[in-house]
Amino acid sequence: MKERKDRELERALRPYTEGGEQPSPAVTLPAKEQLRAKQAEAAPAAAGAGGTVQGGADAQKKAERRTAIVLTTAACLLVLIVGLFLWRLQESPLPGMLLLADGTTYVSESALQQSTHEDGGAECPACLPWVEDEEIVCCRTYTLQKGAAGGEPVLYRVEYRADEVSATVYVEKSNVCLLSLGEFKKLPERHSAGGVEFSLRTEETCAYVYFEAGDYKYNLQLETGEEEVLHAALADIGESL
Amino acid sequence: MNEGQQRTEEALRRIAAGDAAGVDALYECLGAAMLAAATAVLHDRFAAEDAVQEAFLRVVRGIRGYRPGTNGRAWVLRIVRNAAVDRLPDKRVALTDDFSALAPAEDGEERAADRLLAESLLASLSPERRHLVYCKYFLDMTVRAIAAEAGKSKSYIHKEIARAEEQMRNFLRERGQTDGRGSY
Repeated sequence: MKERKDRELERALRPYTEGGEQPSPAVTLPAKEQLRAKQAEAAPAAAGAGGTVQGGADAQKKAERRTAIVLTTAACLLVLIVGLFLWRLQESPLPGMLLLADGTTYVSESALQQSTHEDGGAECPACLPWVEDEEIVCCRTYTLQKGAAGGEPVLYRVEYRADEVSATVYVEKSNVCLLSLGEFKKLPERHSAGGVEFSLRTEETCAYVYFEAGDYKYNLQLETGEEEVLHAALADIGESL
Repeated sequence: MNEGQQRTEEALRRIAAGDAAGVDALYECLGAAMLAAATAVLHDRFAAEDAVQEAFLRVVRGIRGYRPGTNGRAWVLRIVRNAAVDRLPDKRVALTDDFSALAPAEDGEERAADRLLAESLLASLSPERRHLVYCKYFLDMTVRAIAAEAGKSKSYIHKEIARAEEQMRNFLRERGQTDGRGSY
């Protein structure tokens, strides 16, 4: 919507638009007084503002210095943390080992070293009380590659044959967890015998069993698909523990 | 921006900067228009001067409300008009019918002729259209502001102003006063 003035009309009306008589000059006095008063108030404020500017500059310098100190400290801490991490990495039984805060050491096979390997006639480890020495087919013990518990075995792998059933058991120390045995910890079925809680899964020709007793975790593979044989083996284990 | 607008703008800039001379400058360039605007509302010279004095104070107090580069004249005259209206007992503005206060009292021969033409031009309009022309050409009010004050629709005010302008153009044409350039 156009609101422009018609130039010809504006010119014709100019005697009116420019107004007539001037009012008394006195009408401006209160306004001028007020303006001067405002200026007088503003002058000390401006002087104060000068001080404030100086103070502001000082404050800014202080803030910058504080920021520099904080950044330097943070950088030093970062370097220290990285150094500590690298040192721990160097000292830890890597590769393939991960020590978690709960004290459990998760290891891959590369972090283990075989310490003994005995075939038939080997002495049965104390952690396998249900296995007789003569039943042992193969027994291997493993320690961590570096520095854990004075070279004590942390994993046993024992093959044995009892009651016409062949079995392989991996025995982990309770504070060690071999990553490749993770599936045993997720077995779906439950069975109880001799006060021991077993987790298990049965397949056509074998059964997988996991249980914990004392200071050990047992990962057992039995070469049987028959439920009766399996339950008899578990009852034997439960009673022995 | 014409010379008058530039002077008004400069005066307002100086007031904003705290320079009391800005008040004098505003008085020089808009004092007469301010008095006329107040007189058109109050129809009393002394009351109008009081309103103008109050308006100068309001300009100084409210200078931060003015946006530089906009219509300073309209801004100041709106303040004057409001100051004048505040002095009306019922705060209702009557249609401005008496334009004698707007024109210079003492004219030279040429200005007297101009004034006579302007008076004739305004006299050719009905009181309502004359008021609309006054609001637009003298107070620099927008159609929106005029409509709000008159309590009419914008389109109605727009049409009425257009008719008033056409009527005045016809009047000037009949008097042989147009220069043929028309409106812009």
